[in-house]
Amino acid sequence: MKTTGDKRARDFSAARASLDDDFLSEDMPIEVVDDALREAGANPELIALAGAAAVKAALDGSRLSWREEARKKLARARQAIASLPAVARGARDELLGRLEEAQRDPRFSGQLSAAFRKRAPEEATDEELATLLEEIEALRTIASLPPDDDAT
Amino acid sequence: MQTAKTRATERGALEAVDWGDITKRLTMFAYRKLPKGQGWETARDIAQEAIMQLLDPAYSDWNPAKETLLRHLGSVVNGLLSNHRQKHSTKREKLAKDDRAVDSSRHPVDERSAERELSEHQFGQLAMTRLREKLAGDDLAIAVLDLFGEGVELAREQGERLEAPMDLVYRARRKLDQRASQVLAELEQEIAS
Repeated sequence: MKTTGDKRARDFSAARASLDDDFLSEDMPIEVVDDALREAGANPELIALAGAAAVKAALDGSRLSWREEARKKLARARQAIASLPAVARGARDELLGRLEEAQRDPRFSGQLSAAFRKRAPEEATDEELATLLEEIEALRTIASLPPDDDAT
Repeated sequence: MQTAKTRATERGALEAVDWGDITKRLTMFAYRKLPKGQGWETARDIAQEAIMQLLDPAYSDWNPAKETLLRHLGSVVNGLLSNHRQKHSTKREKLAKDDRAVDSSRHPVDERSAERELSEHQFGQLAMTRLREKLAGDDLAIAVLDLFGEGVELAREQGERLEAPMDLVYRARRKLDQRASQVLAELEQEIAS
């Protein structure tokens, strides 16, 4: 097919400009990309290795940061729980009152009902009641921890 | 809001990508668009920066339903190149201003001066004739060039029109590009001398 002079003039610049996007097509054979890089003075193998390594490091770093975040949260929870005062044994009426109060809290009512399914709270020893209340207090403390970075 | 599960799925998909392949394609894409005199190292840095932006949830806005990963990264590279050019031209303008203050007789080098010796039309005609000579014997490359003349510029459309495998079409387009660069360099040298 013959082209006119005017057309040829346009073709030349159009042909060159439209070829940039070829490198964004996966249909372009990678050997052609490699050759083009070599022509530019680059080493395609090294570029590929450096690129893959940078992404791996970024993904690993991101994964570690999630682990680190979870670890910090756990440490904060442990610290908060450790600082809770022990529930005093002996004041039985007070223990039962606090348990009754916890049973009204929708966050704990289900578990407490299950714990006292086969017997009444009054049948539990002071030690059992105190331990249960300490666990409830620990759960309350964890739930009230500020989210992530807000805590120090 | 992203859940841990969607994050894990995305991470799995990202880990499955051949990042070496992507980095090479993006580097070459960026290199072609950089101003003359800018090395492939700059192009590689821009390509890597684009990929890092993709991996950063704060920046990434890739929608796989809308475009391929490579096309998306190409858009990011275009944005980074625009910033780079702006920064580069600002520096160059400042240097030129400083130079003028020292020596008003100096002018920036015009890399395309040879091309301007001829009209754009003359230059184009001459270049096309030379390009056809260089492609002589390669029917596919010449057919691709003719399709450009008809305004069919997309590789896929050219492949369909020529009923040729896409890898061969891309090879022909690359050859055409290489020969065009040679023709340009030769013509500029001839005109300058």
